[in-house]
Amino acid sequence: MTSVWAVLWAIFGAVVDVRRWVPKSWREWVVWFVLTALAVGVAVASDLHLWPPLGPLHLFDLAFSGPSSWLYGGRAGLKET
Amino acid sequence: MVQVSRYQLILMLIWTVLGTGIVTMPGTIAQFTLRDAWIAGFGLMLGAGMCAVIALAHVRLFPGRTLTQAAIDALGPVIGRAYGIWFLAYGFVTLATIGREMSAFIGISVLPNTPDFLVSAIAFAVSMYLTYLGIEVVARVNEFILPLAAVVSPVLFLLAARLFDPSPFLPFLGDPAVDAWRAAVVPAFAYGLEFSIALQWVPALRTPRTLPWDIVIAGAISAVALSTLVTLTVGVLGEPARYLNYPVLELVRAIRQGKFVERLDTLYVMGVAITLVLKLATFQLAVGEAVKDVSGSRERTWIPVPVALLGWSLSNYLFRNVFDVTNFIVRAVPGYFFTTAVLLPGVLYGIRAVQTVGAKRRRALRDT
Repeated sequence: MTSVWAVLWAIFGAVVDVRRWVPKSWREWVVWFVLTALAVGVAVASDLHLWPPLGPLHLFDLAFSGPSSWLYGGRAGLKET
Repeated sequence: MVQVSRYQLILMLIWTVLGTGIVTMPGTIAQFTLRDAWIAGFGLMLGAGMCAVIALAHVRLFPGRTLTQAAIDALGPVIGRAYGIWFLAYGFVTLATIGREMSAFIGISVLPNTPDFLVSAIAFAVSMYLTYLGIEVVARVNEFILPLAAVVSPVLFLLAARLFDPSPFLPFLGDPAVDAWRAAVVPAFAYGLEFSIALQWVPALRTPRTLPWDIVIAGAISAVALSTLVTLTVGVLGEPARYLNYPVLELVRAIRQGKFVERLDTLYVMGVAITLVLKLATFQLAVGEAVKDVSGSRERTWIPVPVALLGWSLSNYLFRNVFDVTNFIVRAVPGYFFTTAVLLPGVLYGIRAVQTVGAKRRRALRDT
């Protein structure tokens, strides 16, 4: 007798077709692995509250607050928010 | 071959910009000016105009190619892929920003006891499945929600208009012009430049040649909608609009009709949640195309899962709270988007133009 889980899994498999989500070539596997590893690493860092003093947002701020300030009209700089 | 019509493209572009725009922009505009807030919304047209010029150059120099394919064509496989990685970083950071804006908004407005990462996980999962189904499905869902927006939004705005007081706008254009310009920077450079995401959809468009005009039309409609919304918000809320994270939410909450009709914000939050999921899906489509081009893959069905997973992780990691998101949008995004969506593609098209002229000269020399 077929279990309920097997029926549900068969329906899910028929609707979503999970097999198509799997990469085929080695190059696709490399990119898939890099993106997934980054995602898992970032999720773990977030869960463990590992925010370095010079985090990504600080780097963005350092790199682009100057050009943004220029767009805002230059010398006066950005208004505090 | 999947093809998206002009009508669908314009709707996709409008929701792409207004999805987070209606949540964030009125608040950021009100921080700089209240009297001239109504005019700052038209800054969107400036961003749309820049994107239209970029799109015009793109469809003429690289017909039928995505931006990342164009970079690989013009710069070669190594530098072209480096450009693709820069675009991927832009796409993932934007996805993270949209995801965090969404989870914070839903958490504050309707689900205060649900962890933000769970809300964003559901949103990313839905948008991932939409992305997996392809651009045509995303375009059709954009069409599907239009009746909701076309009926509900005017009703909400008209009900709110009863509370409108013009005094915050007086004297007319009374603030210095520089304040109006500063208020227009976020609409122009942080949201208006998001129209350039359409360059990644070029192979799926039925008429790519009309892309620049479609961007201008979408920009004009979005600018009018945004300006109306900002005008209503400032007119109804007045000075407190400066200090609210989500002034439009408070505008809708202020509506009371008779004894029983109130708390219509549920309708507003439902609409915003749908448009935010669609915005996530459209950006995932663009990022997915970039991943496909950079990896040299022919298939795109394996891409949505890792893209959504990384976007979701980054949205939880990069921004700890709403302040981080707003600060990033106000301080870094105008410069970042201007560099990524205008300057770098401009350099790319300049290189392509030089290559084309050089090739023509060589051919002419060979013929003589």
